[in-house]
Amino acid sequence: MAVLVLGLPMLLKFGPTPRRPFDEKPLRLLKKEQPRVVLIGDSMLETRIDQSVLNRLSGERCSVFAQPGSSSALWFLMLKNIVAQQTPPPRTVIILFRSRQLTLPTHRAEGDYRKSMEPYMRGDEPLVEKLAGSSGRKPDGVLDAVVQALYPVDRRREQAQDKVQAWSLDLVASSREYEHIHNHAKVVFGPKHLRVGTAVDEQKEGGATSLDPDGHDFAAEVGKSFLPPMLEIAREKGIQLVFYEVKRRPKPDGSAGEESPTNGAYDVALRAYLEKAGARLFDETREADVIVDFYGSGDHVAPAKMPEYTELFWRKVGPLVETGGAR
Amino acid sequence: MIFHSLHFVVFLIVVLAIYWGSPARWRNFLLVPASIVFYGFVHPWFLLPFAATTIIDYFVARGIESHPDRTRALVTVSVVSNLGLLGVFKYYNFFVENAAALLTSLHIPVSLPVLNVVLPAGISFYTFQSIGYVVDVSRGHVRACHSFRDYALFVSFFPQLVAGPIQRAGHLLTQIQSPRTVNAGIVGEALVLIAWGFFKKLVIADNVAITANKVFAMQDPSFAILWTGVLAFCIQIFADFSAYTDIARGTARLFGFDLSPNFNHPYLADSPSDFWRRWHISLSTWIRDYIFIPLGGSRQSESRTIINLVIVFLLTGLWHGASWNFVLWGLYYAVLTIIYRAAAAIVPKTLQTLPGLRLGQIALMFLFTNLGWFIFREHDVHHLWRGLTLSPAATPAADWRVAAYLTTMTALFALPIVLHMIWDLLLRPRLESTRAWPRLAWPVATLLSLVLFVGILLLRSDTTQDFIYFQF
Repeated sequence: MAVLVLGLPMLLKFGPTPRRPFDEKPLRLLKKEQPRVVLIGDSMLETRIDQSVLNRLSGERCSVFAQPGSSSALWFLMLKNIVAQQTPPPRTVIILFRSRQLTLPTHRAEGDYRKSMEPYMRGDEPLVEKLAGSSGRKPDGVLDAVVQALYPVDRRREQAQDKVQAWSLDLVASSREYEHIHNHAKVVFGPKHLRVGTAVDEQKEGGATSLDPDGHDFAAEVGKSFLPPMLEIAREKGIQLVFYEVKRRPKPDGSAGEESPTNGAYDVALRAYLEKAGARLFDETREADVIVDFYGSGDHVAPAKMPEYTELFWRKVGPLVETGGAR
Repeated sequence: MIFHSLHFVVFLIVVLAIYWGSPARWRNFLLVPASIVFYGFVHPWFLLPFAATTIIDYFVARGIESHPDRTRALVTVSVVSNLGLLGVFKYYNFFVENAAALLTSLHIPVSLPVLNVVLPAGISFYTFQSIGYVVDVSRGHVRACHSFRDYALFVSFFPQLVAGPIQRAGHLLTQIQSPRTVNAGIVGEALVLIAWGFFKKLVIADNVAITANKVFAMQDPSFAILWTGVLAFCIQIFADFSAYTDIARGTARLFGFDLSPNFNHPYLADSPSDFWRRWHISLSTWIRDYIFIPLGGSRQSESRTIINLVIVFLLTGLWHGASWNFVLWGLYYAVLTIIYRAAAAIVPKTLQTLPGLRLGQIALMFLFTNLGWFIFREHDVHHLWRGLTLSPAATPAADWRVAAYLTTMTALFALPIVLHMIWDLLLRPRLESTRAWPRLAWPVATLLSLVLFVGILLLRSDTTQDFIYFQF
């Protein structure tokens, strides 16, 4: 009995591995909007920047490409396969990030995160496979690792999960409504609607790559990150790249909250590296005017504060974008 | 140690091999240290309060047997020491925080010390099991156990130590004191039970938990979204808790023990009292036998019955945790039970036997159960009040579509529970009554285990969570 029950499922590993197709919609959207400034980031961007306020302040067409739960691997794919494909390409791309995200290529690159990267992948993307590591899900404990090793069927599992979602949609909506329901679900459960003090984003990352790894050495890690290829693409396409490090939720007294004590040294090295490559860095982490009152859940900005934050953001980054000068 | 870990898989295989490879007289002796390793694996200090309960109640029961005239005093010693442990670890901070809040509101600012320790896992389960034993001895229902080893195994038996089912001495201790055997049929049943338990946990509970957790993390969900989350939690908590019970019962069977069941299709209940006969049966029967009946049960005046119901349901709520929402949850079931009792007395008997009425009653009770789970899950009183006063009319149309989608997904994940009901209530009794069953049992067990295992591999959630009842 045990041999049959444990042995037969091993056959599941045979057969083609399914993958989500490339999504053309962001390409079409950018073609339609023809923005001069594109912002890329995760929920830090989604909860901070109000696109209409930014358009008004900058007087330019701006597009916000926020993907909650994303990190540098997906930003690289967005830049390479979406933004850089525009003719003409946007003048400036601003990437909002936290902590060490730029030099942690495996951060949010497995499991569900990996699935959300696939619609931005054109074909095999060998660089992503090389830098972001295994395409599989990071095991949830030793037992899970053993099960994954014995039964490498995670992709089939993801496909089965997708089918359950698809059946659920089929039962309640027509295919024309799928996208609308999906998009509305993203808004409903998005970071703007989280309870204060709840950080679902961070909870999901239990066991995955930490944002503040001990002993993270910029010089040693940057060569293995997505930064060099991102800078290369920007150089080729004549795009000005601006990296904006957001301030993580400060303590009530205004002092740094989650920031690692070694952040200062990291930022110095990062700034030097970027400026040498012709890109810019704006470091918000020590800005005194970004106070705790701005924040909603975790490091997210509260929805009501987004217009005010957007103004603050543009005051800081606007001159940098317009003049191309360093701060 | 938790069931869904490699440590447990290795531990179980090793303990089973040594257990069945040892002479019968050594087996109880082996299971005690095995249970200690299981329980103290992560937090060895958990063994201290556990040892205190075991030692005190062992000697209290022996004392009751040798000094029947001191029974009352000795039972008091057991109850006070067990509830004292529960009070310190589980309720101390709750009472201190509320006392401080009350005094502050009376303009008497105080700063009371709080206890910063982890609640020992399973403390609510093993203390109740041990108190039950002492009371049973005092009532003459069972004889005091003379072997400390056997008694220690009764309290510590690892499959049910952390989250039940709470066992009675007359059921488990008797088995511990008797020789045990297993055969292919029992092993087959045990493996199906374990596979079904893991399927419920990893596929059903952990998948619907994604929706429930997202909804309960929201600041201001609309009516439709909120109740979608509540429904998801309703499925999650049943799948999660009954999964633990099934794995515990299946594991116990591999050692030759039969643990009492804890669930009997609770969402088929047609009234609150019926629900509590089907949900967490080992706790509800414990409370009935050791609290409700000694208080006079329902055989006294109506007003006294109502008071008794309020007391037992408040205690049931508090047993789950030191938080006001659990108190409210208990009170909710007390009020619901009282209303149902009153309705049963008013509605004519002819109406109560109308065809199809039971289906309606089940549906209505399911709605009430969901309302109860909302109170149970929502720890924040402001959000609780907001949720209870939400109007469905205020839900945006787009939210209804998302809610319908998520509810359908929850229903799809819950489908195996419905299939299990059909199997358990309709198919299995028919199959088991056929003469071919002895020949079919083994292939059916193999096929079911295979289907469940493939289901686990292909449908389990990305992330797994601790069993909900570990926190109690």
